[in-house]
Amino acid sequence: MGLEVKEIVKRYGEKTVVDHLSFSMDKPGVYALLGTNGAGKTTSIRIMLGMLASDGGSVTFNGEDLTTTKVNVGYLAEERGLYPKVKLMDQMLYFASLKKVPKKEALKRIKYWTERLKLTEYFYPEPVGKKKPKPFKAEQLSKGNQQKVQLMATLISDPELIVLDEPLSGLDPVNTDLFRDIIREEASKDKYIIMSSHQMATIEEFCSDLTILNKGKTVLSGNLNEIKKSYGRVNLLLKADTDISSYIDELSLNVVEKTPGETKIRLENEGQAKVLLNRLVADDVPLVRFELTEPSLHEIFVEKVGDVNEEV
Amino acid sequence: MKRSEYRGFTQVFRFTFLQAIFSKSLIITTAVMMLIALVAFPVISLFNKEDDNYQSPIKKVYVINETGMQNIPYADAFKDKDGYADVAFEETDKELDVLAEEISKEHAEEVVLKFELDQGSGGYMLNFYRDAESPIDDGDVDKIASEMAEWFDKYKVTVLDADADTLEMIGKVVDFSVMDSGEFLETDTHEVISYMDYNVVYAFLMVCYMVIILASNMVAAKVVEEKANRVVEYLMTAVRPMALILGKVVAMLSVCILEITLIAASGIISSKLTSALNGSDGAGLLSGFLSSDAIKNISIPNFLICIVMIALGVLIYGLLAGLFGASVSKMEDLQQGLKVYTAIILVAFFACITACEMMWTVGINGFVSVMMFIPFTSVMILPGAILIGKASVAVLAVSLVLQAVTAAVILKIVSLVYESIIVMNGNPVSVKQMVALIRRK
Repeated sequence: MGLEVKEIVKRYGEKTVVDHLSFSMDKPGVYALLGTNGAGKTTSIRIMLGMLASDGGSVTFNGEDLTTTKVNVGYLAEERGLYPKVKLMDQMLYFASLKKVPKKEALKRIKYWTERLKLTEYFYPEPVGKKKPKPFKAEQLSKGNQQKVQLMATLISDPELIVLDEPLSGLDPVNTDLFRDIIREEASKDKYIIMSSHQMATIEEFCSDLTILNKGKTVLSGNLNEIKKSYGRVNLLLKADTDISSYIDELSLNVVEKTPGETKIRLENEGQAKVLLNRLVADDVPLVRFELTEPSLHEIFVEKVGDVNEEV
Repeated sequence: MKRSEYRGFTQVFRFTFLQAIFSKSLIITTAVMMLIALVAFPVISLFNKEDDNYQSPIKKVYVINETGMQNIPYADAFKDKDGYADVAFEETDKELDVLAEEISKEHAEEVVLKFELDQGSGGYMLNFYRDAESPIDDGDVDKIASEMAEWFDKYKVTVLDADADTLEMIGKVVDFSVMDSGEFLETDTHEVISYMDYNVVYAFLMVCYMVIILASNMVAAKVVEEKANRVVEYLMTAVRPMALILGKVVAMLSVCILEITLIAASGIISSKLTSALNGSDGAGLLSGFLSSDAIKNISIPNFLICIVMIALGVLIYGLLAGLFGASVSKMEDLQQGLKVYTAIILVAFFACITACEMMWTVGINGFVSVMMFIPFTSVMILPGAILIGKASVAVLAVSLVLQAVTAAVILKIVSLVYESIIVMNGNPVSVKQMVALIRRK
């Protein structure tokens, strides 16, 4: 049964910020909720998690209304939050207690996550000389480390539904990889994960299904592979030892990107590629690369969101 | 309201309470207050000793005796007290207004004592009147009134030829009040309180006001802090908004009660130790500062009633502060968000100050009575009134019910609005917008 979001609507006065959003996750996996800034992603997430009352629609999890009293939810908000002046261990135990994790179990999990996220020195500081170590507070941590603590808070209750709003933003490459590994691990544990990100490569890496929002409206929704297939292989990457621009101009092909070594063309259909290839082969042009690919999520996103904005 | 609306209350309460009581600022404030309470009684004791050299400027006391008791030996009150050796007593049949006018004309060192039975309590009442222009001040009249009340308390039980009714009557309270004769001539005959009682009410008003301000401002600051730090988004996945605000209010209330109890306990220990060292009783120590009624009314039931009253008051003001605190997203906007709340508490505070002044100058009139019933003011004015014995059981019961009802109504309003505004960011939410939200719900 999984997660089902049906026709949710949110209005602020005359403005509709979420306009009949619907999607579903029949089985565990990672679902992407994409959109430009102000598209209504965070509002949709807040409605899904019951933080904000909607003006219509429903959200169910395994056939029942999704409420945080019934479903164990982990939420990593886009705008991260910790108590700056409270000891890290105290606030983590507090967060665990709010999720009904017994103290003994919470301590065990904190130990595990501090090691996993390389935060041991902050949660269990070593004594300096004979002095008792001073516990760390959130304000003493770097932004990246604070983000790790927030991820720990999100996962401390071992949630069945995880919502990650921009989980990788602001992280250095090492920590980005660490977060990626953890997300992959959680996904492999048959959990329902909703992820919102502006990093399309990350979304392509993790998500099988997605919804793209623009100004509250759904502009694209479905399985990522199927969406890509529906576009066809319309990206052509060309590399040759000689200049081939005359062939491209002759067929009036749309060059998207041109570097000294490579040319990227956006085709209208795969047939155009066939024609070009035949001509190049016929003239015995020495080709290094001739690759047809489906459009990237980035291109689809820009196209879809751009389309709507242009119409407006 | 559903029970699930309060899910997470215990955890929020425990966390807020522990964070507050282990905060450095609270530990320092409480330690300083406890220290003051500990040294207060030894200092009072020292002042009382210095009072041994006191010389009363009062030369004559005109007594209008309306008690029905004959041949009262007033001068016996000061038999062993050199400071009152020059005070003469004269019983008179003249009316009070005539006497008040006479002493006002001459500005002499004379006072009028109207000695009567108190219709309310059934005990005795010593009402003193002085001329505001005379060299006698309120403190001098308070001292003589206090001495006489204390003496008469003992004297009345020596009246052995009393019947059963009289014995019951003389077992009741002896109280006194002090008033300017000029004011008396200008005012109605409301029952006024003594200067010492006024001080008690005033002191309690200040304490209650400070407790409320402290607790509710801490609630508002915590709400904004969580909103500004974005912790609230995380919390909302586990806690219902009502549990979030109520947990904070009750935690801050508990911190305040704990603080008051610690300070009061320090005061009691100090009083007991000082009394033991001086060989006197605690009441003797306090008599220079509190009226005999106030001393008699210091009891555990009264302390508990005051605590319940303050608790309900903090609940009312704390919920409002939390609500208005949630209307802003940044700490620097907090004062702007609390404008309406600040206006409410200031109006209530100044109304209470006025009521307190009225109790002393013109008596417990309609305005004072109304202040004792309005939940926003009763929390500040009633604890003092309870202590000086000027709040009847009926007034207390009605006030407590009104406070409880108001707290419940505010809780309902907060539950309608809080959930919607707690995750709102950006410009502060205005009262108009809050009203619109309530209407929509």
